[in-house]
Amino acid sequence: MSTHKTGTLPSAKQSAFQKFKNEYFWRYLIITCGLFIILLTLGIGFFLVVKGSGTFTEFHHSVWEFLFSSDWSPMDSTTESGGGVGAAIYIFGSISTCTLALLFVAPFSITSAILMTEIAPNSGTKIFQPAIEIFVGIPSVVYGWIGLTVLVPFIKHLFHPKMGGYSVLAASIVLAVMIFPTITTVAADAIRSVSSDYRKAAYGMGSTRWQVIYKVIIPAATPGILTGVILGLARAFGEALAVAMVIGKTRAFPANILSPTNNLTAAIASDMGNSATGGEQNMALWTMALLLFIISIFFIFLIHIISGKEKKKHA
Amino acid sequence: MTDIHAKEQTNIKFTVESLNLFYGDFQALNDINLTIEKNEITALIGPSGCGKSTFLKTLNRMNDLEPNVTINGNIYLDSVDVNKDMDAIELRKRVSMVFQQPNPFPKSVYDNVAYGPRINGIRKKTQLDEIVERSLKQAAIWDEVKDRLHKSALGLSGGQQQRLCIARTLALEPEVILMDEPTSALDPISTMKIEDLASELKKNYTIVIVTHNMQQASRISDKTAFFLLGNLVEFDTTITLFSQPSDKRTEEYITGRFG
Amino acid sequence: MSTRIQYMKELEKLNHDVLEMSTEITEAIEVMSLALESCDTKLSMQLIEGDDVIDHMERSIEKYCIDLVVKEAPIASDWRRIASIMRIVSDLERIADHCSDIAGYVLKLSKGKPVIPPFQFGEMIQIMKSMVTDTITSFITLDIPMALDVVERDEFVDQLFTAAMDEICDKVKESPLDIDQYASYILINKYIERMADHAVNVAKWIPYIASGEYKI
Repeated sequence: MSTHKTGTLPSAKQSAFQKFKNEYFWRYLIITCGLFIILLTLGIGFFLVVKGSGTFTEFHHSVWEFLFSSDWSPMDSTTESGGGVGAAIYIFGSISTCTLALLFVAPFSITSAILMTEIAPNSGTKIFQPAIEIFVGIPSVVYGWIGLTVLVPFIKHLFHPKMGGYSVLAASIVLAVMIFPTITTVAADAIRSVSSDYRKAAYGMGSTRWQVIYKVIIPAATPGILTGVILGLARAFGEALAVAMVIGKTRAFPANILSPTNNLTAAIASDMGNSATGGEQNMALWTMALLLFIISIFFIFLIHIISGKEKKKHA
Repeated sequence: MTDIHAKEQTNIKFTVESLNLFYGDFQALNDINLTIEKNEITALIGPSGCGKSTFLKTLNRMNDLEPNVTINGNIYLDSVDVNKDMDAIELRKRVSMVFQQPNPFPKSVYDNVAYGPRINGIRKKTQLDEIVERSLKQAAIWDEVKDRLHKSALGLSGGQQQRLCIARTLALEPEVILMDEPTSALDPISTMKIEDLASELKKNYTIVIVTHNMQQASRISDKTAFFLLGNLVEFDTTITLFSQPSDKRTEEYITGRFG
Repeated sequence: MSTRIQYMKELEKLNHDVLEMSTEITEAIEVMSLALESCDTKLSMQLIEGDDVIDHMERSIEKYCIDLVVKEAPIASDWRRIASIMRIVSDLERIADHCSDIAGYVLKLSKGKPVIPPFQFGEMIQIMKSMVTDTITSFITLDIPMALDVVERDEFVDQLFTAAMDEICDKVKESPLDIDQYASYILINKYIERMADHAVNVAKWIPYIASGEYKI
């Protein structure tokens, strides 16, 4: 160590430490947080894979059986095995309710988005937008409760279905209402972000307002609208509580939309707590959870492809 | 300042009389009177905010799209009042516009040019093919795009995109082409190509061009109008306005004493 | 708000250089007038040597104008002034050339037998001198009537030129042996008349600079 007697040396040392504190401390802190999140996500995924593959590895069921068999009768004990783990009913339940929900809601969402952004932009921002944002804030259980107390009896009253009002229809309608704000806001944002340059060009050539909307703006906003639709679909797929309250929780394929059935999320929500840990039923439910996880990743992947295509187009 | 010709004269395309325009309470155009002649290029020059773009937009009623705009006075296209006696949509098919930022739709080159004819009800492929080819040739860009007609228009360079936008308006077979600073965003070579194009197009169309570039105005236009703070200060043949302007304000602006 | 400050300084410099050259020209005419009157060889040599300076000034102003056009793309009154100056300095330079030419002939005359010059010379030189001075003044003040008056006065110079020619011819017929001297006077006569013409050329640009009036 040098023994300079100038006054600079101690403060030079001090400022090096200060420098470290200021520059590197925050940098490493942020990196650590980021890494933590990534690790957490990977961890969850890994955990699900391990837990979910138990059905195939430990209990020696095939993936084919899980996906396509409708015989759901797993053993709910830690010792026995050999039951059926066919989740086809639940898978079908999820797919059918979500698809129907999408079919109901997509036209409403897109037209609402157009209404909000193009037709009445002033009242759109002042009335419509806040109204939709309120929708988003309503908890699922409230939707479920309203579905249960209002929709189900209404269906029963209207159609006199054999099994009461609990049905695919009820679940689809509830889901449709729940994902409506998601799709509408994303679609509205996509429409709003269509460059006004395109509008100017279209009007400048003598287009009517409708021509501008359906020939220029909607095609340009399509990637964004599709993203909204997929986000809505992802949300619908993952919705458990509200669906569980109106779908009827019947382990059978629905004969028509007025029949009750069950779906993946409702099954996990209701049976997971009751099943014996490590048992076949428990393992099978984990596999359902893994399936849901894979489907979500698939949706996100789809969204990335669509936005990637859009970016390429504009590059 | 030229006199206002009688509306019956056949070489006049637009007659503007006592035009006033307000954005809310703000007066953007103040008692404008001028005539635009057929098959000529008329340039509109002036400092930022002087009203030249606003004036250009009154010729095809693009101001209608903005809120709170009030217009007094008359604008006649071939003796018909464009505000009172004409439908805005029909007007814009006869008087089309090219903008400062090239704005081709995010569609293929073909679909961009075919947009106009399609919204006019033309569906037959052979007809559309013919219109697309003719328009792209007129816009001097056919050779550059004929092998990539169905690829995205956004892959073209800025100068090409602007010529595509011109082709797009030509597909409607308008009578007047309005250009709002069409070369401001382009490099010098693309600018020259578009200037050459404009000079060629004036044989068949009437062109009104807003420009910040005085050399451009003097190069290509037949008549020039100088706007200042919403007023039309001077309107004369280009060579006269640029060599011996009658108004001191014009002289000061064009020689760069203020800007 | 004033912009293009550099450009305006350049225009001012151009005006200043033209005035400087004009001063040199009027001085040269003064010297030439004295040299011719007293057949002074010293003054004549001074004129001949000084012509290079004026040539250099003309070339330098010409180049300055060309560079200014390339750089600044002048239009309207700026352009009219610059375009006119390019022509004006050419005519001014010719006036100075002719002073030097006359000085050359004064030297020739000084070597021979003294002969009486035509009496019109005095008046011709007076008018021509005033034409040059007035045309330069009208350039500075953009006085169109003054410039037009210069153009009119050329007629007097032309008349005096013809009269002087006649007188020289008569004198030659009287004393043919003095033909060498009179030949010099013929040429001096012509140069004075040409100097007046050049002054007129300059004057014709003044209305163009002032108001864009260009008469073909």
